[in-house]
Amino acid sequence: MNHWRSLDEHAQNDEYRKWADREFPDFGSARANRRDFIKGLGAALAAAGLISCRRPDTRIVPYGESPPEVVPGLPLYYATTYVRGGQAMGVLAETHVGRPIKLEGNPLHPANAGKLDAFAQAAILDLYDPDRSRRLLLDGKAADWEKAFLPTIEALRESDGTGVAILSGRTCSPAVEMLRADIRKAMPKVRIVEWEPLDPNPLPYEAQYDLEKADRILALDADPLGLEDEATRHMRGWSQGRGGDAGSSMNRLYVAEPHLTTTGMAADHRLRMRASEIGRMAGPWFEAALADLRSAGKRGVVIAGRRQPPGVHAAARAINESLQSEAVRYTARVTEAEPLASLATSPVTTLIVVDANPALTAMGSPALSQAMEQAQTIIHLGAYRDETARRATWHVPMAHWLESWGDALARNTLSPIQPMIDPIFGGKSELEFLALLAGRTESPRELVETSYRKLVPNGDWNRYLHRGVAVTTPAEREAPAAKDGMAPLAEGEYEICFAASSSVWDGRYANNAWLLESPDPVTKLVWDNAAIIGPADAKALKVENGDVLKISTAEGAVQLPAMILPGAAPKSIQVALGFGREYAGQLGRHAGRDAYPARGAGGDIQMAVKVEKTPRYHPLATTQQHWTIETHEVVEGAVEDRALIRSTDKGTFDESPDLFQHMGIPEPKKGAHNIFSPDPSYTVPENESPHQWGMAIDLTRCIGCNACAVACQSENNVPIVGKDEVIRGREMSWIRIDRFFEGDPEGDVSVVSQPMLCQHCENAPCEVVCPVNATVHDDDGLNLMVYNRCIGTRYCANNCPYKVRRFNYTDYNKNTLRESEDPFDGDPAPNPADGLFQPQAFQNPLAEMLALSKNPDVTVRMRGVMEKCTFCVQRIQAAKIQQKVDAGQTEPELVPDGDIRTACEQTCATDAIVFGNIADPTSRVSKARAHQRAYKVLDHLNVRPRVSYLGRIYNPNPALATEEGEGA
Amino acid sequence: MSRVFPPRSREYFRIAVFVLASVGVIAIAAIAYYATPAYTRVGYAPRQPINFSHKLHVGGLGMDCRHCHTHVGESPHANVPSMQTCLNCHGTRLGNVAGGSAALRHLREAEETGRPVEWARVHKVPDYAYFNHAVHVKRGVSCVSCHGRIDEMEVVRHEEPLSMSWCLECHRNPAPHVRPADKVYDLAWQGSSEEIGRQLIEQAGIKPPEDCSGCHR
Repeated sequence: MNHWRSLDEHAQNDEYRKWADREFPDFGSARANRRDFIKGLGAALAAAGLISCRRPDTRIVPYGESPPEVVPGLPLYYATTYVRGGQAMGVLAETHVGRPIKLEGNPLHPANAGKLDAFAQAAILDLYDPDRSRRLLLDGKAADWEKAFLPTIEALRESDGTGVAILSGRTCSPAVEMLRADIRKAMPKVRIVEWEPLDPNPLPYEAQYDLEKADRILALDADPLGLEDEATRHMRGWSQGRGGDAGSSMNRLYVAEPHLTTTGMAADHRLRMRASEIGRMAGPWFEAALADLRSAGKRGVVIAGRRQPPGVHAAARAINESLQSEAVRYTARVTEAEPLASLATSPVTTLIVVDANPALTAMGSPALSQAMEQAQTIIHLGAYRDETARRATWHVPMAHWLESWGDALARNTLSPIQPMIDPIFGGKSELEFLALLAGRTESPRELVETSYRKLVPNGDWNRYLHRGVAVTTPAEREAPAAKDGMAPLAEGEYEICFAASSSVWDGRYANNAWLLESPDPVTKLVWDNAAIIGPADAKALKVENGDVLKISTAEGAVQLPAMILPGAAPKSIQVALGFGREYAGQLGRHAGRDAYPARGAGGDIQMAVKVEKTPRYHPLATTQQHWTIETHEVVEGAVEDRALIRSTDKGTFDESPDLFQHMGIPEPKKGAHNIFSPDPSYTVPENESPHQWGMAIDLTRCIGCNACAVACQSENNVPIVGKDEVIRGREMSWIRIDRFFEGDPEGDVSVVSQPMLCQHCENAPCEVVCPVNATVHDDDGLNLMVYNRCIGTRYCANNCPYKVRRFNYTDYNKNTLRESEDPFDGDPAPNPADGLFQPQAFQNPLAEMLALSKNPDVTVRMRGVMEKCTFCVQRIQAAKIQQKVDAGQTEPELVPDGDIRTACEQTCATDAIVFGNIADPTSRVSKARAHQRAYKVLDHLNVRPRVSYLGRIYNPNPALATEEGEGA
Repeated sequence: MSRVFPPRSREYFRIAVFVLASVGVIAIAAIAYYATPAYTRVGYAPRQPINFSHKLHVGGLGMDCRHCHTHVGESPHANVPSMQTCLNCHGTRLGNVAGGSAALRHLREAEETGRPVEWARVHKVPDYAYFNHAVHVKRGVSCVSCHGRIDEMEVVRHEEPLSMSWCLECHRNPAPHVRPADKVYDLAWQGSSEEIGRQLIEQAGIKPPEDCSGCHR
């Protein structure tokens, strides 16, 4: 077994050694010159002068009239709903005196059952984004709402709608549908269309999968555990069938795909195949997979990927119907919108764009791009002054969904969108805007209530808002027949596949720093997109990482740096959409290259692509080698495998369930790199506290999706550092996800993702080297980091075998990455009456706006201190204190198992992470740590980590394992 | 060989050493005295926008702390009351107590404009310290232990240093400060004793945290 993190590591070259040998890579251009140093010295002296003054007077501003439910200091949770591309997820928003700071899933909502993905976790940051649009604009200049804009809308409403078209993203909101019906009544000739750039030619039916009901799953270029519809739901379903005990049943996942996805990384069998060939399902691999599916009967299911042509979906549907699969249901798409083609039937004079960005994406649809060109008036409702806003006649700032009323229907669950806060920058919600067009005068809340009453006639409105869900009776909709159409094949030429981005989705999250800096689950790339290409093709083209490729399709061309990634199909290139935006805001503007022009209207899989190497080089920031732990070490002259990742197939595991314990270096050996060789005179002090915190992470369930990392960032005020600093290896993430390959870089690889965080070693190497006792243990077994003691020697990080400590090289929380003097990008000064935001009340509006998104229960760290995972100590303390408060002057009870969920555990859709009290043998974490598959990373160093990992098992098909030789 | 040092250099050197040493000692002594919370904080009694007298309301009228600081028993923060709380007695449309008093000018303004009064903050621990009021009062630590005899103060005054060593003194030996639950808000109660404290500590299993994580997160 041989695992490696990157091609450099596989080759053991200098680039790899640089990251493996040194805890802190070189300083690069960060070294200051003499002039800067003296400037800095002056500033330091000035600051020293200031601290001798009396501390500043601070004020306490109580409420004028207390809202009855608000208790200052205690969070309140409200149910609301997050919607992306017509997909709803239930949310509980944590608010502190009216300020939302953290989003968690609503456990009552069936789409996500309490979990959220990385996009939803990061949505809170957009709420406080100072780049958001703040004023009504007419041709780019501030305009008056009452005097200028309302008469325009009035005039529109009085017309019969000839030449008027309303464009929005896919909606799942009954309230929006209700308003659309009213708009149609008022303007009978209006055309209302929906446009999702990632799904330019939607099928007339949709497939709803329930993966918990499937034993055999075949994914045809599909990413159900990643970036496709209902992924959070599918992760849970897939995880439920994953078994994991010796002898238990376990589902089997087949994935055929051109480039690795999180689904492909989770696969038991993965076929590297060009996206254009997958639909034919030809070859022995497919024969074996389909035979296995047939033997599973009703518990088999085929999933076709979003970008595959209709014929592949038809074939998948035919197989599912012949299997009578229980795991899928086909229904008609729930939409009253007209097809996009209706835009071409007669000229569009007024185009009303509701929360969409056609100026960026319209080239995906000829009818839409024609409408964009024709329209004399474009009215745009959007959160940013984006590409469409700059083309538009009217731009109306849009309120964030956490500032808006609305609702959403997911399968047959209706859920409300409730405002957590008044619009910070002013702005109108989608419902308010549509109500204006429809001529309805009710408040948005009343509209949502009307929509609720229609669907749930005798429902309890307050209970609906409180729980955030209501069950409706679904209308049975017969799914229309499948359509034909296959992608053309062209042997020997390059194909290009366009994909959603794990950072910016279709471009709409392009200004979200948390997402831009969370490493892509597959490529580990941040702040950029790249042309993903296999090692063999790279060799043929003579390119290395970062060499810019010019990729020309029939539609257009794009120049992108190459990123060489194992597991790619030959002659296939993958590119993420949504990057390289001109007007995304100050962060998104610099990230990546726009691939929409290259895609044009040619679909997501295109053939006959010309690929040329250019002489240019674009440095890519990838974290795949950062914080590298050596996989081997020399013990008594012999190289031994540390077995950081332990994996095997199910058959072997069933036969000898304890084999995971015997992998790796068994005993702390003399001569090993071990500063803690077992000295009989040394014992770890026994802790007295009845709570001993620990964690277990199941590698069979972890798919590396990043939700935990973003949740951690949000909960623990972890700053972002920017692309340059990431290149220097200074990213601050407390939890990193190490992605390990196994196999031949040019052939088939399998991948294991291993979340790595502070292991809270009982015998912690960091603690003994700190000269100021800034990192110490507490009685609960937590390894603490005391910021106010830390003087920044970095000895602790240097001594950490897991490389999980992060150092604040600069004041990342104060120096926002935004650079312009005017943070608002030329936006006219806001009208103070428009929103909560009053720039005159701030000294540094940028930093202070972002300060609002911080969790008040966690210290914001400054320059020069070390930080790391705390096991969410603020949640631990809150729970322990609550037990004491409840007990009063009686003996408090122990914190019940499951009461404390760390942010990462809370949002993990596959339940791979379990946290709890290891002193309680009945707790979930104790059971997980006692599991047959449990092992500890670097256990032989005798550091006694508090985090256990459960080994990865694959469930290969015996028929295929022999054919493939090694098995996947 | 020419002389490198002037003839009296030895003496200059001695004087310099003496001066530097004295400056150092004075500086350390000054910092040890003036830069600690016991000096910088204790006695801080800023002027408030309204001369609210705790002596009158608590000491004189016998109002309970929780009449205004309503959430002290459930929240980390002992909330400063909203204007509505004041207006329940002083509001022109309600009790109109002391209706003509000039001292209540700011409150009248607040009543009219709806803008709350901005109070000057007296007690403040650093941002990285998370003090929790609820757990202290529920387990039997009285307000008086940290805030002093508020019921006798005309103007609220910072009474104790609230420094970390001061916190730890009590966390290491809580017995003198733990009292029966019904006496927590009785600032004048004199029955406090080590013995009562020890009994309560035994009964409630009180083990105040001495680890960093108890207060720093």
